[in-house]
Amino acid sequence: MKTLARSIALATITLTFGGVACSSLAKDTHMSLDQLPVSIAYSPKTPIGADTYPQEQTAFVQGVTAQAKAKGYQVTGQRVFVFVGYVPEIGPQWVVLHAELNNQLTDTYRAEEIAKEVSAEEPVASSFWRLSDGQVLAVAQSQPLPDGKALVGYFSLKK
Amino acid sequence: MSDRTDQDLYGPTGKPDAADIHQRNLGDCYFVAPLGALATQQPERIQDAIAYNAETKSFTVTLYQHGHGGFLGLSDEAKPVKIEISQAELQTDMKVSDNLTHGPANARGPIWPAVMEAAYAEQQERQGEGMVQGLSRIGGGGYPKNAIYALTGEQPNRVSAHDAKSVPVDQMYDRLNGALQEGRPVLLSTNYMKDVPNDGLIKGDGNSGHVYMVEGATKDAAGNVELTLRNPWGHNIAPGMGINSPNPITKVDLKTVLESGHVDELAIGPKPPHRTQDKDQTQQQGHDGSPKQAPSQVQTGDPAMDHLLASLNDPKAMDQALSSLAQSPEGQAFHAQGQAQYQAMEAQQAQQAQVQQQQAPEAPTGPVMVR
Repeated sequence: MKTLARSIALATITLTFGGVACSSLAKDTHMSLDQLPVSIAYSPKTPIGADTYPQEQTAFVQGVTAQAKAKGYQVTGQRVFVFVGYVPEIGPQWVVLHAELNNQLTDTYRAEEIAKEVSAEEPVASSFWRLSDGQVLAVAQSQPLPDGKALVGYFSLKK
Repeated sequence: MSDRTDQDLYGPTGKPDAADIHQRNLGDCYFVAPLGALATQQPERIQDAIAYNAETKSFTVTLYQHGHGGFLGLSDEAKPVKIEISQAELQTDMKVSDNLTHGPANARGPIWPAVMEAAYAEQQERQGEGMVQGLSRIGGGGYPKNAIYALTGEQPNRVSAHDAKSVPVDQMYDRLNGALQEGRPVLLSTNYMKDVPNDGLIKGDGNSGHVYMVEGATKDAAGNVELTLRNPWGHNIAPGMGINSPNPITKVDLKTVLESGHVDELAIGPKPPHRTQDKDQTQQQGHDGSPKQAPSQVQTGDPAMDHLLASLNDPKAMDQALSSLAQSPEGQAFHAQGQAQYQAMEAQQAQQAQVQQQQAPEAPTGPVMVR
């Protein structure tokens, strides 16, 4: 119980300092992908490795890479999560995740959404944001996995 | 994925249900919320709009678009259009929008929302485009008034937050409750709130608001008016957006959400369509229900007009009178002038719509774009 309380306290401190860091980043906007919010709709809350849903993940990342390339960018970093949804019975909902991330990026990081797409191929949905320092990020959702979940990837891009 | 038939259209109740809607991948709350409100208030309208053709395994959906009608074709008249949705198009909608009730696209559930959404996407497609482009067009936000028109052929009565605030809350209650009692679909559109709200509504998505189905209105002894709203997401878990509940229903105090500036407007759709029997009865009566009066015997001095007035009780004679009037040099000139004005107006509206579409993410005008 004591350990749990300590973990919660540490998590609170981390979140608090994360919040402060976000505020200062509003002026010096360069951010790394691990500063993007980890949604409550992901399980686990940490990025997955290449050995989780390997085939689906490869196809998903290739799809995003091709989409970025078509816009003149190359992928320089990525974090991939498993998106179970806000209500497991309903499953992944890009429209809710988009609102959650878009509000954070535009309100906290003064980002501007520069492109968004939906597709019948990989990825099923994606959005691209430009931060005030010119840094470009993409977030995308995969086609449904065989178990009804989906992959969500955060990608850093450069020209 | 196996073919879907009319057996897959509805759930156990055999009719559309607002709870069948789960907005997943597209920003089209402005379409699925009116669709859900119609499912609650006028399910037969949706059932009548969808037909299944077992031979082609396709669905035909009747939607409406602006057309010309009335005297000399000069007035705006809703034109029904039949849109055919093939199995491939339906499955593309399920893959891209994934708007099914129970689980993702590979699960089975009532497909009527997907059929209707695919039809709306096809209606919005431009020449040479396919279903994915159509879905992309409808998925970037829009306005409930356009969706209500496409679904019913009638413009909704819109009450801006400004107008709603300017009347006593009692009056708004009477209006909204009266509309719901009459079987009309009612929608509430929100503005994007910079600060996280605490009023039962979500903050919005990056400058865009959201649309809710209004399912009820109550007034307590103190005169407070509470609206019962359904979120087309199928829940209200909105991290960092002011509400966190798995229940799709949220209750809001009307005065609070109007005064905070969170509400953009309320839209009240049309009454349920009349049955044929009712229509016949209505035609034999005046607008106030009284028997129709005999046509006027007034002489205007214009033979064509007098001929027209004399024919008011005889549809065949009226048709002839209208034809003669339309074919007369004055009628032709009037028609040409009206057509030119109408075309100029359409061109101007198209240009304005294009400009609004290009500018929408940065500076939406008029009602707030919702998704």
